This record gives sequence, C-alpha cells and structure tokens, in this order.
Amino acid sequence: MIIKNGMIHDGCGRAYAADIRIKDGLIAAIGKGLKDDGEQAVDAQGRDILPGFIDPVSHWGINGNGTEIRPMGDDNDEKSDPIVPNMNVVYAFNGRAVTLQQLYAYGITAIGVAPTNNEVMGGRMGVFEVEGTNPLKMVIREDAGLKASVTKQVKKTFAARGAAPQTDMKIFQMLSEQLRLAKEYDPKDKKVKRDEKLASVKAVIDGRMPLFVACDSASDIQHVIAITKPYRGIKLVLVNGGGVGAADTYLIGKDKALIVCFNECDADPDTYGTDYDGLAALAGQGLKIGLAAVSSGFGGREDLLWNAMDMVKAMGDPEKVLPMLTANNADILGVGDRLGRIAVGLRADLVVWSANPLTTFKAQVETTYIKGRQVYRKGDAMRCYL
Amino acid sequence: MDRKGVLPGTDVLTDGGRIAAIGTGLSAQGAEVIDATGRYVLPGFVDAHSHVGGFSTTGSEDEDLNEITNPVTAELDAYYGIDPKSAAFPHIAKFGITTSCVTPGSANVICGWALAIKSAGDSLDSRVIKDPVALKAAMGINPKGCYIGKNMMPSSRMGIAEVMREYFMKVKEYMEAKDKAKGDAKKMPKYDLAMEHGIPVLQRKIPLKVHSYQHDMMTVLRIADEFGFDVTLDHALGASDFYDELSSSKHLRGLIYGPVGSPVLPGELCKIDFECLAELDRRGVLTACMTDGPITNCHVLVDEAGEAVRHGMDPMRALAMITINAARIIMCDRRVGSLKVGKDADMLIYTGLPTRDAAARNLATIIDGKVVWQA
Repeated sequence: MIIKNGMIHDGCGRAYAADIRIKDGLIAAIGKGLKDDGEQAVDAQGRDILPGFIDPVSHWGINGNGTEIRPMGDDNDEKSDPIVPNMNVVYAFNGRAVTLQQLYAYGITAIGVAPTNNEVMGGRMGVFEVEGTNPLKMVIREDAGLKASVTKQVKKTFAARGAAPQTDMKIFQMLSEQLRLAKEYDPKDKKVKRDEKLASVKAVIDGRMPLFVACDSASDIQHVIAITKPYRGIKLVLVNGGGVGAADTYLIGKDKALIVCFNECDADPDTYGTDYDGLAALAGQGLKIGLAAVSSGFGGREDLLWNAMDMVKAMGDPEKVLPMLTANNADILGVGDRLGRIAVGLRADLVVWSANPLTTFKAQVETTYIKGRQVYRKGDAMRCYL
Repeated sequence: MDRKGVLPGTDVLTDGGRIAAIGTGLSAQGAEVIDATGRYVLPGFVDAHSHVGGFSTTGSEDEDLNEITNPVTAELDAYYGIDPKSAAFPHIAKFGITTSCVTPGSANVICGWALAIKSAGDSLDSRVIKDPVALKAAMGINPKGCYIGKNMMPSSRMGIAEVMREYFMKVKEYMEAKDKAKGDAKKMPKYDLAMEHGIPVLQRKIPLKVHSYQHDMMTVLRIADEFGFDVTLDHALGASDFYDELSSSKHLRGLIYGPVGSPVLPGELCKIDFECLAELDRRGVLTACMTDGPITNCHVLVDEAGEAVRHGMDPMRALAMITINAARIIMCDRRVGSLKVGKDADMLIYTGLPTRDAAARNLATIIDGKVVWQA
C-alpha cells in the first residue's frame, strides 16, 4: 500500500510532504513520487500523517472491563503485598476491553500498561497494541518496565489494612531495601535461594528494564533519585510530573525521563495544576519528557491529546510536542526501534488526520493503521457498553 | 468577541466593574490601559456545573456539598457549603473561568439549592450573582449507590423516580395548603424549608438541575411534564440516543454536557458522544459544557468545547457553550456570558481562539473590571 502526498510529521520534530510505502506491516519506503507497483494507493493530499500515539503508563485493557462481576476489575492491583515486582501485567490485560474503547479513534495505536500506584513495587509493565483479543498476540514488549510508586495511594492502600507502609519513611526504606537485596542476589550461586521478586528487581539494577516510579511531588522525585543513585545501571522514569517546575534541573540526564500525566482531577493539592511552562523550560534543556493520559485508573482516551495540547500552549511549537506522544514514549518503553516514529523499517502504526491535532481542535482522525492494517475509519461508530 | 460574533480592532472600556463602552478609539481620563492588539478578548468562561469551593482541595476528603444522610435534602443551600477563600477559585480563574454554578453533589435524589458565584471578589455575598439558580437533583447510580447499603429508598431507579415524584407531590400539596390559608397564620401549613425550596421549581422560576445520563434523561423529562416544571440535564452522556425527545421537550432549559475523561464503562458511562452537541445546537437546544470541578480539572471546560468542534460544531458556537449559553442556562445572562455594555466586566485576553487553536492560552483574567490573574 502507498499513502500518497500526505504531510508527514515524523515524531522526531520534522514535518515534510511525502509518500509512504507499507509492506508486510512495516514502513518500506518514504519519498516523493514513489511509484506504485499496482498496490493499493491512498491519497492523503491535504492530510496530516502522524505516528500513532503511545499512552505509556495506562490501565487500558484492565479498567473499563465491564464483564467482571465487580465493574472495575482491578487485576493490575495485587495489593496483598506492597512488594510484588514478580507480577506480570500481561496476565491482567484483556484485549476485548481495550478494543471496545476505540483508542485509535483518538490516534492512539499502542499503550504501555502498568500495575497501579497502590504498591511500592507493583509489577512489570507491558506494551500492547490497542486492537485485538488475545493479549499474548497484542503484546509488543513484555517487561517494558518495573512499576513502583511512592505516592500517597500506597499509604492509603496499606493503612486500610493496618499494614506497612503507612509513611514515606517506610515506603522509601522498602524501596531501598529491595534494590540492595537485588544487587546482592545472584541466582547462579547454588547457595542462594531462588527469589522471583529479586530476579525482577535485578533486571532493573542491571539496566535491562527501566524503573518507573509514580511520584506525588518534586520532593518525592528527589528522594527516589537519592535512593537509586548508588546503582549506576538504573534507568529511571519518573511518573506524574505534578509539582515539577523549571528549577528541577536535576531531572535532566541520560539515565532519566519524566512522564507527565494529565491531571484528571483538581482536588489533589500535590498535583494541583501541572506547571507546563516549567516543564517546557526543562525540555528545552534536554529533559526527556513523555506525555500520558492518567497514571492511575480512570482516564479517557481524550486525555492524552488534551495533555499534549496543554503542552503546546507552553512549548508553542507542535512539532516539539509530538515526540512526547510518540518517539519519546517509545524510547522510554524500550520499543523505539519498532514504533513511535515514521521511519523506514518501523511498524506502520500511522494515523491520517484531517489536520494537525496539535494545532487545531478541528482535526479529526480519518484513518488509523496498525501494522499497516486499517483498524479505524472516520464514522465507525463509538462502541458502547450496555 | 461578543454574542454577535467577532469585532476586530475594538476597545472595551470598563467602569465600576461593568462594561461602560465597546467601540474604536475609546479613551477615559485616568483609565488603566491594557494593550490587547492581536489578542482575542473573550467573555469570561461560565462553568454551568461545578463544586469548587465545596469539595476540599486541601488534602482532606471533606465534601461539604454532599449531605449523605437523607435522599431528600431539599432544605439545603450550596451557599453554606462553599469556602469563598478556597484555593480552587484563583486556580480556575487562571484558566479563564470567571463564573461557576456551584451545586450540591449528587448523592441525594433532591440535593438542595445551587447558586452562581464569581471566581474572585471581596465577600462571598458580593461574589454570588444569584442564589438559587436551580434546585439540584440526581438520578442513577449516585443516589442509588449512597442508599442501597443503608437499607433505604432509593435502592433502584424505580425508587429514585418515586422519591422524586413523591417530593414534588408534597410540594404541590404544601403550596395548595398555603394558597388555601390565604395568609391566615392559623391555617398555614407548618413551615417546611424543604418544601419552600421546591416552590420556585413548580412556579418555573428556577429549573430542577438534574444529574442524569442515558435513559434517566427520559425519566426526568417525563416527570417534568407531569409536574410542569423546567429542567436542565447535567452530564447528559448518551444524549445522542434521544435527539427528538430532547429537542421537542417543552421543559428542557438546557443540556450541560460532561465531564468527559473516563473510559467507556458499563451503565451511565456507556456512551461518550461529543457529536450530540453540534446536533442539539442545530436543533435549537441550549447546550453547555461543565467541569464538575474539582472532581475534574478546570482545563476540560475548553477541551470539551474543543471536542464539540472536532465533532462538527463551529468554534464560535462552541465558545458560546462555555459563555453565553451557560450563562443563560444558569439565569445569569443579564450580568455575564457576553461582552455587552452594562454587563459585568468579566473578560479574558487570549492569544487565539481557545475552542479552535491548540496553542491559544489565556494571558489575563479580568473579573468585575479587575485583573485577577495575569500571565
């Protein structure tokens, strides 16, 4: 298939008019005046073509799972224990539940799915496609990150059951202890008892899997940075962004990234009003920022784009914001070699918009392709739970 | 920008908190001058449904607008649940909301009176534009969920409809008893504030402001017909299933859509249908958006209006939804909602048209002629 004459926004900051050839689900060629070999050609003259957005720390495929007896199936929330790094979110993910949400109608083609913010270490994240039924076929990458949380949600969860942790002191001590034990853990040593939890955390220490930590505030972030500092291999992804401002330059570094979530709610003083201007200043100095809808629970498919539009107000240039929805999120989740950009050899996860959605509210999704397959066309009815 | 549309290169003069003149080349001695060349001067946004100042934003979980002890608390007034010094007000002012309809929460079938309040000003009383602007009521999962565990009616949608009807039958009887007494104190029924609060509804002086989704909206319109009162349908997700019914109702004063920002879920959130706004607007239904703040953040007011544009509405009509339409629905359009001589000087200075341009941002919020926030 060839998509002809569209304005390509490549997800890395560039925009140019060209044709895109798709073959076997991948982008086979990009260029002007590509010759079609009798394959299907789609004219995208006057249209904007963007990489599919990636919502990086979502609960899609878990929340909104209406077939459960309890309507909010909380299958990514193993709250029997505050330290459960051995949980794998792939076993919580329901393909039908996410397909029903028609995320692709808002330009989202891939999602990072994470355990909740309720545990100190909640489990391992995965990256998934947004259309399908079988989670094991929809998964693009397992073990995309270990999800941790130092938010007040942890305290709330365990205070309710009279268990630890109930203070920030205990949360950080537990986090620090896991890192220390994992560093010492050597599964090859026959005298050492097998420990699946420590095996998971070990992957973080060795830099094979990034550590995602949900934080309520900049001071939480500073505590996390202090605790992880002795472990040089750790790739740190701080999640939420509430309370972070232009002064928080310690966030800038090759081993760190920040995922800024849309503040669905104004009632929480710790995330009261994201400082987009401050974040824009940090991005200008090299902080790697990814944008997300919400980090825990109850967000809508619109939130990711709304978050980006708030960032556009601060950054001015939509081309600088697009990577925060695409390439940066792909890189943060370790799938940047396969998606998140419009480039030859990458998956053809493409969205044809009537205009640039980071410029105008008038922009509508006309067609969404996942691995070159059309999954949505404007006018496909919103699916509806009854 | 005013109700008629766009006036390019125009000045606005304010005096004593009101708009004194709109025209070109205006001047006044000693007046502070704000240069808005190349900017968009808009009416302050009106949020037709929120709980700002009444649900805590300080970390406690106080919900002083939800008295979950009786499914009928018509005697309550949001006025006494609002902290005028709440940080929520300057926060929403920053994002352009200058007037909010603050309403009791939706825990009860009949919740109490709602009022309209400015986001800045001196005393609470000077900031209240109108109290009451509606009697708040709620359908569906909220009242049901609050009482099902207390072994109280309503524990079902059947129960909700009956509790609502029973209340208005009582108000009707109370009014009749008062009429019959013809001012004779001995014959008057015992004073009942809960009944008193329902009288302006039955007199069609204020609407019943009903938290309702999906088919609950049809229940509301039917009860409105039965008693002859007016309603606003608040939240209203799923309205696209009922175009004919909504546009032909004689009792629908307006439809207040939102907040959106959740997955589609079984039941009340089963359908998210921004496209209903353009269609209902076309059919002459007064439409508005809402934040439900602080439950949902104040940015979403503009975002929701923008989504209406994405789904077929003209950006200026979408702007009307969060200004003059909302003001009309909450009966404050004599004072706010558009830029007109004599109206309150509540204005925003924007870098673009917020319901269209992603990059448009607010540079200043002016309430009663005073700059209350500036970028």
